[in-house]
Amino acid sequence: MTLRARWGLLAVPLAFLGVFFVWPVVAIVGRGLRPDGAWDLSPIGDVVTDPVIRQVAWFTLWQAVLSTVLTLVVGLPGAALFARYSFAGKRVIWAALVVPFVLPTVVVGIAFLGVIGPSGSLGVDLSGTVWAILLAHLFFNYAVVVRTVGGFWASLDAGPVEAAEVLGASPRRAFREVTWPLLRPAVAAAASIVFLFTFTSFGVVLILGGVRNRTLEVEIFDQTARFLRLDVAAGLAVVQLVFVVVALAWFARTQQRRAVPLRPAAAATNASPVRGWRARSFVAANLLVMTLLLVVPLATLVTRSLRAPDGGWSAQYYRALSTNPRGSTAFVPPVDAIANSLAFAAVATVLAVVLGGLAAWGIAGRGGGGGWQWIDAGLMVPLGTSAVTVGFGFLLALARPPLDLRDSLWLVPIAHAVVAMPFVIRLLVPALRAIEPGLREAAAVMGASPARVWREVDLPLVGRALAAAAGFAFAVSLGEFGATVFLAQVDRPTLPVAIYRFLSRPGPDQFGQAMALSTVLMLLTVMVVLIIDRVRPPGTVEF
Amino acid sequence: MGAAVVVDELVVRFPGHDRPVVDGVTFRAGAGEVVAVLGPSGCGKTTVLRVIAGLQAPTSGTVRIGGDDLTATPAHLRGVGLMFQDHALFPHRDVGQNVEFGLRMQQLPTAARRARVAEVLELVGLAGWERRAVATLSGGEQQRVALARALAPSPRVLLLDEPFGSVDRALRDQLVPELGGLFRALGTTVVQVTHDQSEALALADRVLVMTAGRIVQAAPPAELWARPHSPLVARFLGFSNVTAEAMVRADAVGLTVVASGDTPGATGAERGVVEAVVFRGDRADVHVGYADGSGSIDAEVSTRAGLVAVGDVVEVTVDPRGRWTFPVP
Repeated sequence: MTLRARWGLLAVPLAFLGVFFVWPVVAIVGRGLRPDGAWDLSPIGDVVTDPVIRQVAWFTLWQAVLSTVLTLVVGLPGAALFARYSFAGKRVIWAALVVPFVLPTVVVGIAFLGVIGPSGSLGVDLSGTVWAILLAHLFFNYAVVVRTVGGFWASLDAGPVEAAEVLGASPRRAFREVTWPLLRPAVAAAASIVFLFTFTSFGVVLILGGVRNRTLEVEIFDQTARFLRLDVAAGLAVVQLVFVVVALAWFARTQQRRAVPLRPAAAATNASPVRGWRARSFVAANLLVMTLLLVVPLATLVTRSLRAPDGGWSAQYYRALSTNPRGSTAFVPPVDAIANSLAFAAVATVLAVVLGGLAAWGIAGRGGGGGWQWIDAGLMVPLGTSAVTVGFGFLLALARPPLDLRDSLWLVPIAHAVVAMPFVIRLLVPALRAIEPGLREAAAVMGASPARVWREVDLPLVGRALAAAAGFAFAVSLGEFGATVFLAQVDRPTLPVAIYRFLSRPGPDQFGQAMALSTVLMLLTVMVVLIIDRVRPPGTVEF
Repeated sequence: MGAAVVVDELVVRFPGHDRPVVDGVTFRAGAGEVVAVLGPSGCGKTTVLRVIAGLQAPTSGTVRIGGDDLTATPAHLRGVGLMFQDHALFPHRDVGQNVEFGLRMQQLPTAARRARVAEVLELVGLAGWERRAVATLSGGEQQRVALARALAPSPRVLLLDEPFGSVDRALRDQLVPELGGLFRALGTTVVQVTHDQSEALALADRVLVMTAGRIVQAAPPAELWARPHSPLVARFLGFSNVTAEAMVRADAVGLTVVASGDTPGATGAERGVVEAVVFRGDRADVHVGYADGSGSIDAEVSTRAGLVAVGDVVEVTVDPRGRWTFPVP
């Protein structure tokens, strides 16, 4: 691929992010740091020297590191499970894993309170402690590690591992010497995503962190929405961005060190049936972790949505979803929110997959010198930027000429695409890099044009990654809350926004309906991901 | 020193296949013996090799190495060497580290490892290539690294899967006798799998012909060549003039060009017309149709005295030593 072609692929996504990410962020930072047309950087200094904020920053950092490590430790065996074994229900579980990841953070916070809160089913009150935050982060990000690493692992060629074993390496040793080094880029990719998420964590920390455990994101939200201190918020946003950029630079360095072309293998050849007590107990342990970690909080959510105030079982909250009891014009029947969410998510997915796909092919292309890992890392920045900053920045930057989108329905899907694009890129780049260049050359020599090569070689080989990327993009859009709460028009709420509206009103009816709507959102996500998992480009390697 | 490999009544079934891939294979490779399993692709020969190496569990049957039943022993404890058909080099390690891997598993000290790596790399003609990245190697070079990696730990049994598939002919002609000598000197037991007759015949003490999951004949190369068991084996070995009962070696067929007006000579030889000639360098394959319409015969003739041409009328003679009747019809 020529340098010109790579830049050509990147031009549109970069322009998109320039207008819909950089500009809004610059606008809000400018509003804070240049209130009267003159730059005033003192808020950054104030923020950096403030002992309270230093403590917040320190907490934000170490809880993110700890959350990432914990998620890797628990998630990597899960990735191994999907890469190495075939078992009944594998496909459904694989799809269902995404559910926690896309649930609105507020809902998960409350679901966790139901398990580890003051009157929780566990019987131990962990709320207000860092353990509650770590567990909730594990709940959210488990799928990132399992799916990113597991998908890559399943496509590794089994040959080198077998060669190591024949040469005398025990299975454990062969893993350490061969599998692990080959997996490392996928692990680094997953770890960087988890780190960015937990570093900018908002809803979970707000609900489970109590008063002492606060992240920078919570602080930014409070300063923006509660104290209207845009200068402090801008200072905090800058500090947060610096951390994110440093983390991404580290990630870029780890990616730079690898350039090993790998042979793709049909995943079915690697996965074997579960035989022997070791394999059985490994599978059982993993399924137990998934059940405790993922099913228990969600089951709590569902039972609460079906529990009437008198303690009996009832579907009353579900029946109420299609009604507008107050007859108010501002209050739309919650079922409308479902339609809104699906429409927005469909548009956002198309945008994110097309733009993220273009960027990924540009980044993964060979030729044209080095330094591409920096662009790769730069495209991840939206993932680590506070959703609050993005949402509020949209309102400041895109609500006046030359680009007035205030009343446009595009605003929400565009914001969602900005947040979802990094996922698409993150999932596609390793898969694209894993394609042996010889395959493309073989197709070209047989007379395939570059477009045809793309369609016949690249597309089928990264089909699994592409389907996963589309699923993630859709799911991210369905569950996005931090930015949408600023952007959604009053009469067009998305599901999370509607849930938030219920939660912000007192009363058991409101709470029950919020739980019911959350259950609907959860089921919707499972269905969508299952469908996307099945609809794949023709010729895709089967999972 | 090599160890004997005994494979007994091996059956391998894969889920979803109605017929076993390996269907009752039994053979013995004595200590230091070089055995070639020769068969068309898909006949199950690679699976046999994977079972011996411990990478594939058999549905039934046993594998014994050096007298011990290793059927249930995991691959890393079998102490065999395997050279993979697609090389399976470690993509994240350089040539030296690839070759060194088995020595590290044996916990050899660093200096000894380094010396051994240099030694085997020299043996395969890649002296000094330790620091090369495997991704930069050609197919033939990768194959030589794979061979060096399998040889380095001096395994008592060496399993080779299509070992010379991607090396060029000149190198193969050089490597095959060298390796033959090496195996004999080391006394390593070798089980080699190939679909290439010339490769099997050049290296092996004994050749096992395998088709559709079964071994159909086992014999030293010369005997196999002289007395194939069945038309199936004969055809697979590349013989032409094979019928259900017998075969006539093409190099036993003599052709004498005669003028078309000549009357049949007193020799009583049959007459035919040359229908096709394929030039092979020092020889030519000639297809002759009998003049009386009773069929055709292939001949392999020397090109020393010039070529016959299509349309030439020839007298066909057959050396009776080149005629062989199959014991198994």
